[in-house]
Amino acid sequence: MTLRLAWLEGKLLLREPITLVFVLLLPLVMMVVMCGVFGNDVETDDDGGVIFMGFGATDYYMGAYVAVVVAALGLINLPTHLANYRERGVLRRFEASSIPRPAIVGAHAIITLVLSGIGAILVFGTAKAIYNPTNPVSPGLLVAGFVLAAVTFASFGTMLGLVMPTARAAQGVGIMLWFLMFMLGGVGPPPEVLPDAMGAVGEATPLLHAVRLLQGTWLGSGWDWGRAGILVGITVVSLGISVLVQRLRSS
Amino acid sequence: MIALRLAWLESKLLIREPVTLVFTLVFPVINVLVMGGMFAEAEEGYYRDAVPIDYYTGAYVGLVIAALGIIALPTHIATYRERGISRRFDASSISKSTILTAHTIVLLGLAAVGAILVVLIGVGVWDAGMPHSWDGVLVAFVLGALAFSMIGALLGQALPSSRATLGLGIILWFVMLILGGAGPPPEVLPEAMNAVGSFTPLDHVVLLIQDPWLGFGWSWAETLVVLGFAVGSLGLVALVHRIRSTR
Repeated sequence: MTLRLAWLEGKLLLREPITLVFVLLLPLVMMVVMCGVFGNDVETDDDGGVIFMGFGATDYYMGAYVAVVVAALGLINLPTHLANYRERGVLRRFEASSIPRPAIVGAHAIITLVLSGIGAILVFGTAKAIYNPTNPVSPGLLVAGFVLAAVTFASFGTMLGLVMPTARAAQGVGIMLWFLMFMLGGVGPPPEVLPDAMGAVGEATPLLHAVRLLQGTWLGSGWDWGRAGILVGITVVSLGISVLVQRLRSS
Repeated sequence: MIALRLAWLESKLLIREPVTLVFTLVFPVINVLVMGGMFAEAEEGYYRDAVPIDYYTGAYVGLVIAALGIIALPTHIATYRERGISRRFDASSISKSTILTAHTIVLLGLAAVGAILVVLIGVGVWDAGMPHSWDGVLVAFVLGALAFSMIGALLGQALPSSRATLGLGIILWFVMLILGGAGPPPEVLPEAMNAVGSFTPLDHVVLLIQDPWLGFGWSWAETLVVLGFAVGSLGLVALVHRIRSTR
């Protein structure tokens, strides 16, 4: 049941041009440009400060852009899709035909993982072909971090989809959050050169923690329990709010 | 007269669209805040030798125009076609040129709002320099808005659905943002990417606005290119109309 639902949902999502753009195309385009601009030599800023955590930009961006794919799915596609379902009464019909809620959630979890997996492979494959970045140091931990990040953003997106009044609002807010996280979450310009206030905002975004977790496993500093804990925290809070909103709505 | 009333209605409709708001009024402002904070001092050989925030303020005025012409307007027009509103305009004998005029006015008005916001933030937060030649910047702004109105009309008419238009618009906008002079300084882009950038209309609108802003005079070459985009798009719009109406 869950699998069949996942297959259907996947086909629906793929027909959505916005999904294709933000999950498969944009991370790729941005990665190609940013790695092209910054190269892969270890460099410092004008005052000799460390940038890109002391790694080559291309190596630095690998984990970062894998996280961007996950974030796009969770922030833009999932909430829009969910809000759209609510608007059109599809969720009510699911309930009426007694499809269990875990099956719906499970289906979306599978879709998120598979689609973001494809996006991530696309990013790394393309980078490998053009820029030859280093391979992940701990692939096992990388996959674990990837799954954790996907779960976090899926929960965050579920919350967003339930809280937002309409699909259009969800899409607008989702795109805005994504862009904000993109600029400040360690994926665009090197975070070390951001002004302090912006760096602080960046630290508050889930994306930055996902990026750092994945970079740790990719670049060899290992599993970052602090960041992982924050992601788990975001997941729990998002799910809590989702349940609360759902309860308020149904009463 | 009808064009003006239509423009007023249309601008109210457009502004209610969250995606329009985000791309037109929010993103350029975020960009000014972030880029102005990162690059404070002028460095020889970068940013056309200008102070970065002066460079970017002009560039982001162009970016506002591009967001309207590439994302907001085409999606709006495609939605009208999908819902049969364009057909009803035809039936009530409101001419195509009236609608095009109305949309151009809307784009100019909304772009002005976004541009003022960008300039206020740039000047207020990062102390950006005001234009050397206000006349030049204003003329460049109007020309850029005109060109992007035509491009918007073309995209909205030529693409199959509003969802496709929105998707394509967003990807075009991002590509223009990073390759068209509004992202990293063009001097650090690899040559191939700069070549791609120079094919984007934003690149030329940005240069057209920046030249009088930074005191480089008026560029007739860029004027021609921007006018070329406007006239070319207008011609294609007419062509698409003709093909559509014979079917």
